[in-house]
Amino acid sequence: MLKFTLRRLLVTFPQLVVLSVLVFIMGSMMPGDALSGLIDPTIPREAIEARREALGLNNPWYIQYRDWVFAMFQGDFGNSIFHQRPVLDVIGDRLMNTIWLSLFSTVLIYLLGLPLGLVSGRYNDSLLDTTITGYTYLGFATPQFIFGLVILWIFGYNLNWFPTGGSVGPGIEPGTLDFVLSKINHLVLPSFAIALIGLVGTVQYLRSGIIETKQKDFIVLARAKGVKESSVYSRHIFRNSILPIAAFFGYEIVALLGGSIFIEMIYSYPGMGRLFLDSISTRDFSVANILILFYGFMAIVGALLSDIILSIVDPRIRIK
Amino acid sequence: MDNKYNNGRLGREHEEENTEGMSEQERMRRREELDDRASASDGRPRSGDPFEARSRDTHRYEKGDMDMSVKADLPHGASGHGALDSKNLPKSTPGWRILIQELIADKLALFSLIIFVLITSYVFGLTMFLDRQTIVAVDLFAINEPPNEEFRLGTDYGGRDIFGQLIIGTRNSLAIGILVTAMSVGFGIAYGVVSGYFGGQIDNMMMRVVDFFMVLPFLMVIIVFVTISPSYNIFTFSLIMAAFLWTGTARLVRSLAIQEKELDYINASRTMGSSHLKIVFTQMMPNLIGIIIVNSTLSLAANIGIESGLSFIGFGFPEDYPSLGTLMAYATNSQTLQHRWWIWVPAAVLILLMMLCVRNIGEALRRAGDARQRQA
Amino acid sequence: MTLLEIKDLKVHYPIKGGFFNTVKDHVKAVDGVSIKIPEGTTYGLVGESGSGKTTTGKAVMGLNPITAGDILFDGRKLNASGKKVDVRDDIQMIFQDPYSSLNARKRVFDIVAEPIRNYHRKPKNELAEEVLTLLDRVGLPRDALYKYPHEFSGGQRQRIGVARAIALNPKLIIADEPVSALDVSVQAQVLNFMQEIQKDMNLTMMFIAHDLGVVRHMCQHIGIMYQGRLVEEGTAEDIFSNPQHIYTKRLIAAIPDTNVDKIERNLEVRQTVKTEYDQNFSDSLDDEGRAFPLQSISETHRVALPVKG
Repeated sequence: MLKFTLRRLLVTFPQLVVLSVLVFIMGSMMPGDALSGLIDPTIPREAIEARREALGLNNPWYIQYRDWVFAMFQGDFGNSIFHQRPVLDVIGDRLMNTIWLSLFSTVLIYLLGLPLGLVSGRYNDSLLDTTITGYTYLGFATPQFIFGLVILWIFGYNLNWFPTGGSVGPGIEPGTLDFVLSKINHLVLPSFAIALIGLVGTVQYLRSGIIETKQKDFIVLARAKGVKESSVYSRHIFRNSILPIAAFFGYEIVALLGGSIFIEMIYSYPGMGRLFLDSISTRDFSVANILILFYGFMAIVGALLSDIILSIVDPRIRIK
Repeated sequence: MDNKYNNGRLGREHEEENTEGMSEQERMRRREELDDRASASDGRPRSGDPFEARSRDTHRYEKGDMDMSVKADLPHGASGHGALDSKNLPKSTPGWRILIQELIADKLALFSLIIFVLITSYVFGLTMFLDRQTIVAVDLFAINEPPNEEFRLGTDYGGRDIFGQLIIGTRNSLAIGILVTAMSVGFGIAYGVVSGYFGGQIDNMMMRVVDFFMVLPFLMVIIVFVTISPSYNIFTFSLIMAAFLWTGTARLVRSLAIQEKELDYINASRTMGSSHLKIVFTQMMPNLIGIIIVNSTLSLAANIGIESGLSFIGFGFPEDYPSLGTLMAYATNSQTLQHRWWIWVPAAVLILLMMLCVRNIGEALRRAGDARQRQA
Repeated sequence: MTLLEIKDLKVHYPIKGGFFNTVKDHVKAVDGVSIKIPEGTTYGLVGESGSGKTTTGKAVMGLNPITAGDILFDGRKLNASGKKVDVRDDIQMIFQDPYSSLNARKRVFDIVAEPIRNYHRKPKNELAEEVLTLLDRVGLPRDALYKYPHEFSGGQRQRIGVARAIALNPKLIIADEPVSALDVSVQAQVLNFMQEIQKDMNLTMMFIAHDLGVVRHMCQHIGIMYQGRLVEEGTAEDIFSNPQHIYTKRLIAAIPDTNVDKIERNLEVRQTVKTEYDQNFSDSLDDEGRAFPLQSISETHRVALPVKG
């Protein structure tokens, strides 16, 4: 296992390098550099040139790339032009919000998705199953942003049950119970909007897994030797069909941690997806690039996590 | 599945998961692939998706299922005596006709197909008579009007006719969706077939590239590219999208090609002196085309969604060149969302309707490829 | 005159593994096989699955990369570096599996016409005539022309495979277990008509099989393979009446006999051979579990026996 993990990391290293090169190239393709925003227009041209020279902006690209990478290893991810702060600080603020949102959504997806899939698979072709399957059909075809808007329209504006934006009510002291409640209150709509669409995959997958497992010989055997129907499901079928879903936990978590750009935008939720959009529209590319790098890195980690889980839960796949 | 190959590089099968909820379909496919690997040892094609799980050993005797052709009921000797010229050659029902028969038998899919064709022809027909310039011209005397006699679906904050924008927007969204699908699927097929057919080092190199694309948060990268490209039209915009959306098809086609090239008919063609190019395109392709059609249909639905999503967050086309997502974007204004339903609801309904229709058609086609699930 | 000569053929596949996925070892699928097939005769290559017989056949076809050794066809070297000698119209192959070897999406006409199209330009009706002649020859009805492979039985499919293989009038046909995927009842039929065609066209054939019984009636020369090497080679007469290698003896003893009266005797023979096999088999192989080099024991007969001494 350790060997496998090490080898995987070795394989992913070039990916990270290429990703960083791409991000660097995109950075240099973008209009403006770190100085265009910082320097007072009244300062003479020569002084700007001197500053450029001093900052290494006139060096060939590979030197600049090297400096950029070295800086990152030392924890210097550059400065945000728009916020006038280090990029890491800017991201750090939003990271927690996104983590909360994805945590809520993940819990909801499994909390709602597993029972739905189980019921739908166990009583397949019943009225209930047809309804659930119909819902997954619709869910697959519904873009998340439309669903998010509709939810916001109904529960936020028309019914006024939940706040329509932000991550916390105005003027509430951090650390108080009110603060926590307000946070949770703000999380309800966005996380449901993510989960209700996000769960259709889990439901469909679990359903077909159960229907398939139902017909296998070892289930027939279990019934034949008199195992109770309820424990046939709970102990044999469910356990077998849940494995692949468990293995997808890694992907799922990353997807959610990446934050849904659309949902964060619709609910003006101050997470990383929203930060990305903001930094693009304010041309604050140093933030946007680091975000892309971050997501790419998370994707690699998530894939690794899923492969490891898969190898643990499924003895047939032996990783050497 | 080529187990020897897969086991060595389990890690390769991961995909970027940051799809922002737009591509459940991608996620499903990924799951199926992983599951395929998991169940490779029991060697039985799983129910539900034979296209994905066609294992050589169990399925080759069911080749007849796959080829979707129909028994040719020729009277004996119909082609017998004398010269056979190309005019009286007996014909056999081609595979695509089975697909059509299946679509017709599936009532929901047929209904979806009819609606989709109606929308498409109506929209494309009508846009020929609509003048984009007059529709997107700002009219300050008719701002935010609800539907009335002059403006069938009201106007937006610039006094622009929603109905006209809706028609043009649908046309643009459809055109981009189709273009992106054509480009990404086309490239993905070529890439996957070459990688799978030739295998070895070529395959290794090519899959490394795919791996890299899988890691990219494609939505974000597309946004960056759209932002930094100085100008774009429908074609270049689609090109940017397609550049990051071809990997799914490439991986699917590659895995199919790997299964397919192990079959002896490929070896047979080689021994008979057919060139690699000929083998790939005349021998192998016809066996993959069914799955490719299904895959393209499903990705068309996804691409329409992605395009409208991009326009929705403001990284598609500008307001004077509307797409369905542009109209949706008005709803980010809370006033519009609450009080001016006519601006965004029709667009939302149209997006939903189109994606549902295309998906239904795709699902029906997928079933058609599986003899066990056929209805006709 | 020798039509096909295989000289010390080796086909090795690398086994990769370890941390950096480097080559750890080789699978020696074929490890030093030499065969001569005189023109107009049938050579039977027999062995258990995994013994390398199909790999040998495919190597001759150019379907497998060759690690070492030479293949000479009609005196020309097939695997010469540089310019490749194209003899594919002279060497054809009949495949083991009549299901996967015919493209399910192609009509019989297209399948049989494929080699002709590759080597000769012909107008369509002439092509159709030629294909019809071929179908006649392998005993398929004329209306098979525009049907798809799945509309035929296994035996009929194999006939289509034969029709395709003889379409270019080849000199050599490599038949890779052409009947092992068929029902027993059909096997004899297909074998008989293959023999007929061979006589008619004066074909040279390399007949790969895992069953000595099938080979007995088809072949003039027989080679027995084990673990990538030949253990015994000779005329059919040599092999059947004077088997030397214990592996050959066991194979022969395993041929089923329909004569009821001989059941007891056959069983006895089988038992003795089995005892001998269990005792001596490992002695008749080298340290790696492979056969020793072949030694001639008569003009035509060669056996891989341990070097005495």
